[in-house]
Amino acid sequence: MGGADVGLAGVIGMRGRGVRASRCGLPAGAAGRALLALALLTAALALPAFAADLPPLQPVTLPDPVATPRAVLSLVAGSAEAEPIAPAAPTPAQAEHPARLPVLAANCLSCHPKLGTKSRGGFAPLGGAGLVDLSRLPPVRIEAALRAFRASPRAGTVMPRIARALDDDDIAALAHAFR
Amino acid sequence: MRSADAGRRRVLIAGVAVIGANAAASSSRPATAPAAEPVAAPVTAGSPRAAMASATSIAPTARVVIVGGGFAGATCARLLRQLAPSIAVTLIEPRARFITGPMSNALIAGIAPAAAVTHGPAALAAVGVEVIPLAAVEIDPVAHRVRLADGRWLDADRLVVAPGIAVRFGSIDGLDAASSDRMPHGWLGGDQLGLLQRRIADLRDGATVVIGAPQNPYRCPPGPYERASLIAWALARRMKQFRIVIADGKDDFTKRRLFQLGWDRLHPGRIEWLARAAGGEVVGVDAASGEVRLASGERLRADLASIVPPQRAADVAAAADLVDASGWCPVDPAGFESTRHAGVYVLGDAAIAQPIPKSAFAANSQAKLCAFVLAAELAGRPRPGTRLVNTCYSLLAPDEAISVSAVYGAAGGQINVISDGQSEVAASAGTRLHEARSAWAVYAGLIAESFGD
Repeated sequence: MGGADVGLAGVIGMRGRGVRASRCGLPAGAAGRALLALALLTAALALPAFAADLPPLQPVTLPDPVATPRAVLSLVAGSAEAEPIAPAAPTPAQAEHPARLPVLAANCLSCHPKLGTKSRGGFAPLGGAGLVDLSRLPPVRIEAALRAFRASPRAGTVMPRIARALDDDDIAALAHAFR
Repeated sequence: MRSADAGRRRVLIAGVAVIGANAAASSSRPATAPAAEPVAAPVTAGSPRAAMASATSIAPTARVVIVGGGFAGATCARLLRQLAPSIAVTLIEPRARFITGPMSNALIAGIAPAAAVTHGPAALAAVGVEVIPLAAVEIDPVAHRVRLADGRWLDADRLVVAPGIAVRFGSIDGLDAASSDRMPHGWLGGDQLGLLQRRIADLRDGATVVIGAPQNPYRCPPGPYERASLIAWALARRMKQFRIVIADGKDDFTKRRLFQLGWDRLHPGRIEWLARAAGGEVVGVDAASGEVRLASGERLRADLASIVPPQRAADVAAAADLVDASGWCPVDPAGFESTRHAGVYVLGDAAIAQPIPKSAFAANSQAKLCAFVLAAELAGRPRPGTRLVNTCYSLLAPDEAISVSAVYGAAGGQINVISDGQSEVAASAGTRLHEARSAWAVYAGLIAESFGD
C-alpha cells in the first residue's frame, strides 16, 4: 500500500498526516458530539461548496462557488486559505491507510476534479455552479459533510447514497485525501 | 449479467443509471464519427520507448498497451501515467474525438450542441501517453501483443482492452448493418447520431416514433428511456399530436417508476412502454417502409424508428478469446484482469461486471481501479482494495433529471453492492432541476477525469 499511497500523493496530493478534528477546534466527548451534530447539520445546509448536491431546502440563494470561491471559503471554518494545515500525528486509522482509500479517493474526483486555473467547467445550459473542488475544502469540512450525508438521505441527492458506503476510517482518511 | 437471477436483476435495476450510451471506443471500427479528425500530432514517430524516455527522462520500467480510448481506456492511460511515470503507456484509438454516449440524447433532441458532447483522448499526449491514432486489428492475449491497422505489432508487459461493444444483428428480422441506418440507434456514436438528430428535426405533427429497447445486458441501460423522454420534449414544443412507443425486449428497466411518473406528468398518454411480456419485443422490421413488427403480432408504422439491437463485446475482444459464451468478457473484479488470459485486463462495457451497469461512469471507475492495480503489480507491491462507484443521471427534460448511484466492493470474484439509491419519487421540481444541473456538472467532471479535456 505504501507505494500506491505515494503514487496517489502524486495525483491528488494526499497527505498521510493532517489535522484531526480536535486540532480544528472541535471539542471531544459527548458534549462535543452534540455540538458536532449541530455543526454537521449546519454544514450540510450552509455548505455552498456542496450546493450542487443539495436539494433546495430553503429559499436562500446560495453563493456560486465557481464565481465566488473566496466567499465560499470565507464561510468555511478554518479556511484552507486563511489557516495553513499544520502537520499532526496521524490517528491509528489514518496511519493504517485502508488499502481501498486511494481507489475511493480517486472515485471522488470523477465528479469533483481539481479545478485548474484554466478550468472551463464544461457545458452548463442551466447555469449553476460546478461541483466543489475538494482540494479547496479544509478536511474538517469534508469530514463534516460526509458524516452529514451518511446520516441522512435528505441531506443531498447522490452523496447520501455514496456516503453510506463509508465507514468512520474511510471518512477520516478521505477528509485529508485531497490536499 | 448473462443469467441474472431475480435477486441480481433487482440489484441491477436499483443500482443502474447512465446517461446515454457509453462511447467506449470500438477499435475494430473505422473512425466514422462526424466529429472524428486525425490526431493532430501523433507521438508515434520513432520508437514509443524513445518517446516515453524523452518525456520522462527515465527509461520505462514496463510497457502497458491500452486498446480503446473511450472513457475506460483514456482514464486508465491518464491515471497510470500519473501513478507510475516510469511505466510507458500506449493508447490505441483511431478517433481523436467522438460524440460521447453520455449526453448524446441531449444532442439528438437539440438540447446540447455537438461541441459540448464531443471529446476524446487526443489531449492525453500532453500527459505523456503515447496516443496511436490507428485501429487495433488483432490482439494476442498470450504473447501480450497488439497488431495495428498499419501492420505493426506492439509488445506489452500488460494489455488493457477497452474496446466497447458491438451490436448483434440477427435476432431482429430485416435489421442489419445497412438497414439499421434507416432505423438508427446511435449506440456506437458516429454518423447515426447525426441521422437521428436530423430525422427528429424533420418529424411533423402527428408523428409516431418507435424506440426498440434490447434485452439485458447492454450499454447504457436507461438510454432508450431517456431518449423517449427527450424526443417527447422536442416534439411537444412544436406539435399538437405525437406518439412514442417503446418496444422492449425485457419486462423492467432502470428507474422505471421515475421515468413513467415523469412521462405521465409531462406527456400524458403520449409515451407507451410495451414490455416483453406484453409482446413488446421487436422481432422484425421493414426499414424501407418504417414498419416495426412486435412479438405480439402488432405492426407499427413509424415515422422514425430507432431500434437498439442486442449487444456483445466488440469484435477485437471476441477475436482475442477474451469473451465467454455470453459474448462478453469475464474478469476478476479485484482489478478487472481477464479470467481467460493472465496479464490482460478488460475494462468498460465489454467486461462482465454485474451488477454494475455498462455506463461511462462505471467504465471510468473500473479504469481507475485497474490503473492502481497495474501500478502496484508492476512495482511489486500489493494490490489496492476494491471500490467501484457508479453515478448516472437521466434527463426527463432539459430542466429535469433523475439519478442512481451505487458503491461496490468485491469478494471471492464477485461484485457486491455496498450502498445504492436513486432519486426520490416525490422529489420537488426544484430537486429535479438541481439534478439536471448536476448531470451537466458530473458530465464535465467525468470528461475532465477521463480525457483531461
